[in-house]
Amino acid sequence: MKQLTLGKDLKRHYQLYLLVLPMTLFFILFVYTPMYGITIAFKDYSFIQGVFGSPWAGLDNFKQVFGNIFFVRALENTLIISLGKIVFGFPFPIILALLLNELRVRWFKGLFQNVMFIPYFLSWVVFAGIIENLLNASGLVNGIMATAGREPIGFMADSHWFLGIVFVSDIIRGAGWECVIYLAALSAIDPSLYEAAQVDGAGRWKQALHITLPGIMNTVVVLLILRVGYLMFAGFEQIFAMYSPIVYDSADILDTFVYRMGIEQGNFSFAAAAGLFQGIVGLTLLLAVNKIAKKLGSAGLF
Amino acid sequence: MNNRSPWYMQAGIVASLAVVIILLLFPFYYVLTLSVMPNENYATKAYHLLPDGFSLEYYKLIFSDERLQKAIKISIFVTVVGTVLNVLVTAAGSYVLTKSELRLHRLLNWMVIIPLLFGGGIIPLYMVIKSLHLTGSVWGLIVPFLCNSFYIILMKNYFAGLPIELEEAAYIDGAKEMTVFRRIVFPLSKPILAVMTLFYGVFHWNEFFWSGIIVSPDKYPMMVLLRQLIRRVDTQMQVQLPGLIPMSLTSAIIVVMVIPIVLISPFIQKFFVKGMVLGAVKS
Amino acid sequence: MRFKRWSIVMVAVILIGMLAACAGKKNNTAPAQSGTEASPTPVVEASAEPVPVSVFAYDRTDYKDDRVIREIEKKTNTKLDIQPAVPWDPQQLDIMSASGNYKDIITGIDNDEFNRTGQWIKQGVLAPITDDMLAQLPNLKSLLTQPEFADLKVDGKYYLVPMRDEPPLGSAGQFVFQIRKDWLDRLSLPVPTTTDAFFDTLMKFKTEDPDGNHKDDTYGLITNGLDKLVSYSVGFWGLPHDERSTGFLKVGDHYEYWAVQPEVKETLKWVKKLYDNKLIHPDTLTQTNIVKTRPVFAEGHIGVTVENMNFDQLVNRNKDLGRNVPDGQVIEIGALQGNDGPYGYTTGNGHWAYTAISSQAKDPMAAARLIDYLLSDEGMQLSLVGIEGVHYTTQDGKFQWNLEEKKKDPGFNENSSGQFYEMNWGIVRWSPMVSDFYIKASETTVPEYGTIVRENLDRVNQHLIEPASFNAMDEAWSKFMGTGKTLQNEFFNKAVVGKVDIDKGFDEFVRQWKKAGGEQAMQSMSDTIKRSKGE
Repeated sequence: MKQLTLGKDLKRHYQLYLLVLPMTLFFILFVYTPMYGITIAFKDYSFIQGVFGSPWAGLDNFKQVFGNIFFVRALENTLIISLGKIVFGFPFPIILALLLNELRVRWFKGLFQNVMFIPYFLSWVVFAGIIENLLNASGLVNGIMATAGREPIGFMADSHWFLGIVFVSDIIRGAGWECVIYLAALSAIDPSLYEAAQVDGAGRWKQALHITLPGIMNTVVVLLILRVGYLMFAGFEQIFAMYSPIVYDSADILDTFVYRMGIEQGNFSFAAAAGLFQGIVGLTLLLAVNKIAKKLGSAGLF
Repeated sequence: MNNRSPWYMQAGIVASLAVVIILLLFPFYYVLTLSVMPNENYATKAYHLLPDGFSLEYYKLIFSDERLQKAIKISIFVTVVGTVLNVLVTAAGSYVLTKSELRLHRLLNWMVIIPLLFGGGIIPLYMVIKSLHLTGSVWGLIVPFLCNSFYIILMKNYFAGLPIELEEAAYIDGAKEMTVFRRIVFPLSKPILAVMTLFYGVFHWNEFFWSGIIVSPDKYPMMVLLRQLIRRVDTQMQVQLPGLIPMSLTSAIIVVMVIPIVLISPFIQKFFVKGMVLGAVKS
Repeated sequence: MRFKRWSIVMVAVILIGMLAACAGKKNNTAPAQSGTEASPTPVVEASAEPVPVSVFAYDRTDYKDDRVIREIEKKTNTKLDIQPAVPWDPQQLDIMSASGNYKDIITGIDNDEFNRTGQWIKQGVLAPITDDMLAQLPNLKSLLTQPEFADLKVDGKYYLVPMRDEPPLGSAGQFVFQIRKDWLDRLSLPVPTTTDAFFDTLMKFKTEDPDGNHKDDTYGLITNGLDKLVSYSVGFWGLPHDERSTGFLKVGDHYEYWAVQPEVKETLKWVKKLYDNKLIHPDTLTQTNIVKTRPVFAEGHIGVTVENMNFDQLVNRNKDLGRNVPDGQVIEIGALQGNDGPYGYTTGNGHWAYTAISSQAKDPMAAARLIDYLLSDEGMQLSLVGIEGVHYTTQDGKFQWNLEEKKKDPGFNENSSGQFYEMNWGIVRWSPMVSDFYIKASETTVPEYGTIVRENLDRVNQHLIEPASFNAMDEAWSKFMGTGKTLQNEFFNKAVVGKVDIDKGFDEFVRQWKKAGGEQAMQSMSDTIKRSKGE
């Protein structure tokens, strides 16, 4: 394929470039210009001297991050929690969307679609408060167990229970929200495909398998790639609202680690260095998964 | 539709979704009950399935702030104008991202993807906003938040899935690119436009951090005032409020925050009807 | 079709707008900073024109036309500009710092973990409060020259005005043990004074049905974390720890941090004994926020809470409890004796936030005079209860609110500040709960307020120990605190619940703590303390 020179390309497609211009200007001004802030990862940042005035510190901040005794544990926990959320949480909104797609009871479908993203509007702080109230010693769950003569369980103080609670609450809060994206993808499927399938005598299962699922496959792949890209970010707000020192062993993720070691101590350079590390790993993963997806025949991210 | 699934399958779906709906709604129900529970009853048990009393005193407290009326207007303005601009800019931009024949195609895509994982931080962004003289104005809550990489990617993915034949036919008819986008692609994209409206709208409606910094206090949107109220009862020095249960006040505030979104959602749902997109094209 | 045409117009509008913004940026490259050349000579007599003074304070209402503010302006010959801000968000301070626009007077929370003010001073953001200035400012002078604040001086100069908190200087710091007096009475038990007696008391609270409901549903104690409980209790074995001090003590010829001292082992064993006997309410394990333990304690099934000693809070705690247990009563108790050595609650530094004058203040003396006035008795009363004869009256020493007049001024906001005027906290002090005036005003709603303050304060201050330093801050130390506290909190938790052996685990913890940077950081802090003491 012969490509046009840039000048000719701009001229020929000026209308497209015009369409993308507002977005480009936005990114240049409000996303890329502030990115000079990343340099504080290599500086000894003082919030009075500012980004430019602070002295350079080479790789000191990275040494501090990687050299910290809790770094490896935080990395491991981040991976475990992120992967767990992908394995348990990722399929959930897809299943939800497929079920809704099959549902013919109109009023119930409408009701469900109207309320499914409400949990997303409750902040993690509030969500964590509710979970605590349900699971604490005098909460509903232990109350029921007590009537059954069982010893109360300290759910939030137990590393294993804690992880389970993290996964389940993540699904409850986010599944409906993500489901909306799949619903949009579903409504773009050409109905004539279904009609043709019916003519061929395909049952509902076959239709779901051969029309519906492929119809949203691109969206599934894109969201999965993005999830993998965020592997280093296991959900700061959620963990921070729910954890306590007694479960640090399994709950302390990179972001909470950075919060306690960097941000809480006014050491923003530490936080920036860690953030840069998370970003680079994330971007590498994202590109790798994107490549795999394309090899497998999907359109991928780009 | 003549090919109905068997009734037992429908029943199964309804039953399983009913379980899900209970799980999804429970947290909000919990917040709702806490918000209407009179103080005195709260502490008697750590948890109630049914409210053991009813009182609107926390709602009265919230709406007793006379600044709220103006703040609601500002919130609505920022949300409506902001969301419209968000959706237009995102739609136009992400459409172009699907055009792989452009020389700058890869560059533009990288431009969108990199910010998913890297950012300059709060202070540099503030400095940019300030140097553009956007502080102090409600436009400062709109222009610096015009697009979001994540949403652009979602939208681009949707565009990429549309059948190319319609566009090609238009080009053969001699239509210009902008006309194709406007006349063919845009109308085909109602479901994703609805999703974007929801996502961006919720962002604007709930935004409080930047609002508290960028605009002057007489232009605070509602969420800033509500956040102030939450923080005030949460901070330890606010000890002179006997019997006020922070969790209950917080709950009432959450209900006030969420209700408008719940009211709007049926209009969003209208665009998720199966097959509506291509059906609309054919007619 | 109208919609579509409109959409194109919108895109065009945005385009133009953004281009304009872009161009605007080029034309407006950073205007030179001006206004830093503050005149060192204090303004002598009050000039005819009021001096504008701007204040950065967290969490303010929009005062609009408020009579109390007008009165303060009149008394100090200033024109106040108090920034109404989102409450308690330190990021605002960072943004203010970054943009270089400081208000004349800055207030902020700081401690040895963050050391923000230390950086401010180092970078010249704050104006020193010189001896010349202090000579004209009696109230500020008498506050700053208290021995507790000697180590606030940096290179011989004062920069920070400590915001005094509720109890008098020299009192216990923040967290004290608080017990159910009604339970003690029902079981005919004395207030425990030793750690052993305390254990026995809690055992009885658990087993002898102190609430008389014939159910086995009572607990000994609740607070916001097992690790916290250990730190609140180390004073019983002589280690100084309080949230409002450095937690350093003298060991040999230098200074060391409390958490690595061998006495911690005794404390851990005691807390473990409480834990093993199921005296500690399970929420203590997971609840890091003390505010959330309050409704649990108010349910009335727990004998002791370790909580803030703040007297307004104590009154509220009793009220909340009273709703569930009509005769319930909580009192603050004195420190427990752990062994034969010295013991006590640790004296706090009497503040946890600062007021300072920025070096950009055009008239630092006017700002200092404002602070001085607010610290005076007259200024305190004005900023607490408003104007006499307008907002309140006193007849024969009896205080009476004028509720109608209070409603007219935004600074009196029942919803956010209770009965008092909002300026009474967070500008130069916290609510002065032990002052006669505050007590008198409080007694309009809680008649026994004065008695509560006196009795509890006496008990709490029975046994006190002092840290080596109240206010020293050190950069190396503050950077280590994140790692140090994580190590410390995890070890304390594991030791108490029995996941590690206390004696062996402690040695390992100290070794790890020192190796992870604690050794050097502690040395650095020790040197800072030595310097601040002129050693």
